[in-house]
Amino acid sequence: MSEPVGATQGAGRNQVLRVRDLEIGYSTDRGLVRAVRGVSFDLEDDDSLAFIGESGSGKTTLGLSLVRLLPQSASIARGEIVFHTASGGELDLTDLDDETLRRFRWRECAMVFQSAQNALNPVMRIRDHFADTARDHAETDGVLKGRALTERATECLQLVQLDPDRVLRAYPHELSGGMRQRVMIALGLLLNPRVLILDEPTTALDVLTQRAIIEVLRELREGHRFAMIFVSHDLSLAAELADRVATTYAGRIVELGDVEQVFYHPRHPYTVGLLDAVPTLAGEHQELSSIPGSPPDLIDLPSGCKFHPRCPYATDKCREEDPPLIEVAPGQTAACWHWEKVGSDWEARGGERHERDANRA
Amino acid sequence: MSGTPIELEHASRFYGSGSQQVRAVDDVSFTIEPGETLCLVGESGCGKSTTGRMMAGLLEPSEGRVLYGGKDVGKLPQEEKKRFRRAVQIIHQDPYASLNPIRNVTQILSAPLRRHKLTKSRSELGTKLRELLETVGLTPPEEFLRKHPHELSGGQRQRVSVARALTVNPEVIVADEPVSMVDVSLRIGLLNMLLKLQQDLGVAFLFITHDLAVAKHFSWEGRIGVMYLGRMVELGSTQRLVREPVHPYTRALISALPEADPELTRHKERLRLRSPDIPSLLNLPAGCPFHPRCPKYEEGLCDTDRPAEDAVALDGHLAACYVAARELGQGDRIPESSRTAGAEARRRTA
Repeated sequence: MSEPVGATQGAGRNQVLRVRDLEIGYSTDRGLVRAVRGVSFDLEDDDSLAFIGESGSGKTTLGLSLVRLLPQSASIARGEIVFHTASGGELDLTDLDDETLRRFRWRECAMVFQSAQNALNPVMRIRDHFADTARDHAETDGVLKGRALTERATECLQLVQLDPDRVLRAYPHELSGGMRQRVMIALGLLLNPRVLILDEPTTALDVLTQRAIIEVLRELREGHRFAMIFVSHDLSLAAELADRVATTYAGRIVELGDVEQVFYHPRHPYTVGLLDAVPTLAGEHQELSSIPGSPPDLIDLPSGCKFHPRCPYATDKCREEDPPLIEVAPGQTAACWHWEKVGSDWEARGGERHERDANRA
Repeated sequence: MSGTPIELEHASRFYGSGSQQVRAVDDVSFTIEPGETLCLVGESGCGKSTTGRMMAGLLEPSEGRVLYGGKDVGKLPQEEKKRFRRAVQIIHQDPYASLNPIRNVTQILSAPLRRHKLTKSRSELGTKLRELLETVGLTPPEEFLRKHPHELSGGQRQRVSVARALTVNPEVIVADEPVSMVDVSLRIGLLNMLLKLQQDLGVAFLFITHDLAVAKHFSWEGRIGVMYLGRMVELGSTQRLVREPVHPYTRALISALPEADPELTRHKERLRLRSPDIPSLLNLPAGCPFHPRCPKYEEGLCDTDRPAEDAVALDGHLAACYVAARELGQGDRIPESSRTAGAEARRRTA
């Protein structure tokens, strides 16, 4: 259970991140909110991994834990997050002193936060945001400043297709939502991190703006070697940008595999439910169905498999025992006692899906 | 349910004044027929919500009229105005803000029933409430009657909002982004419930959404109107609009929309816009408001006159684009001034 599958050691690929059995909770008046439960995964240095799931599935908490920005009320109860630095060292993120942490953030791993509207300081020009980031996170002897800083900031802004002359001088309110989001991405790139974490990077943006951001991210990945983790409730974003997809439910990864595997051959009923619930624009009218019930209360989780109250496949075994994440195909894991049945039912419906695909073409 | 068409006739709504005046909705006309579904689609700031609020009688048009059964809503006598108020109900986007947190479901739903004297006795009220909750899929109703909004999920709250709109037997429901704040797994359930209402009760819908895929799902048999910077740029049957969009803006939206299918979405044909940034409503470009971004832009033709909503008119399918009008053999619908300016510009560059 602690060794996830899908970590291929291809030539020239290096592991940057190893997460094992991570457990994070928030203490509240009502009790402990179990936001992340036993999450394990690996990340290679050119990998793009998407965590998809609904609100309250623990995906943002997971993202925050990777840069150690969890709020005070959260605590890592168990597990390890090991980061392989550019210089070849290993850092255990669950146990870092403030100084090492400061240097780790943004140089090794940067995060683009949800809702760029609120993430930029409204009384600071964009130039000063770059200066601040450089000052806080660069090495003491090699701080980016003056002309070098301007050059690097210019370069980053050009990468996200913004006009540096205009944007560097601007205050956040002078920029549109899409431009601010691109500034956030440029800020993330400033110190050349090896991992970029994006939390709902296109949520609340309009379709055309969203498209611009997706294209920027795609081009960045093609031209530069860094790994990307993004967290979203939007399946189509994962379909666009991910190499691998992890479906999360109630704080756990319930399915993990290559993007084609997860979208075309899902083996967990929750993944199937999500795929059946999303309308597409291409093709004929489809019958869509929703997943019955609501996401669980993370303080008072159901017994056994946390999805069983909403699952059409649930049996007594599901109510009693939480299924482990097991290999269902090379490179694909799923946590379901009935994954074979789920899979054969899905493939049996394949005819209807292929027809749909043919109509789309 | 009897039906009366509701029409927006050259309706505009302005905010602010002088140089700061914003034309949030500018000269929009369309009719909702009884039992019909019309989806308004567009990006934020395109005026779709303002249009919906005018239709629901919550905002008065700055110019133009709202007609209910052919009569100007602004000039209706008291009694008929009341009928109009009941005939059109609105469901708001945010189910966390649109329900009073200190009222329980029974109180929320019985207020309009009492106000409009639709139930005569306590037992009739009880039956009606149960019926309403069952209609919106909150079953068993007994479980929900005493609940307060905070005890309900986003999807359940939105169902209560729908039940509240249904209390007065409306003819039209204006639904302003009713599913955008609801979890993905619950969204389709809510949409399917609204579709069922439309089919079973014959309620007409003005459904406002930024998501073209949701619009397609909801109004497959109906129409879609695409708005951009306060104007209606294309209006037509959903199936035709999705398959053969006429306006370059609609085509841009369709090509830009990411789809939940890796093969499909990565190989979709892309339309390159000339500029990624949307102009400010305070400083609208001359001529067609889309021309600074439009891949089909032609100097003179596109930046001289603002294209009329029906610059292209093909069996009831309308689009405000002169380039499309010319390509579709409707060049005679282009005004003289734009035709001349376009021809001149072409001569200059040739």
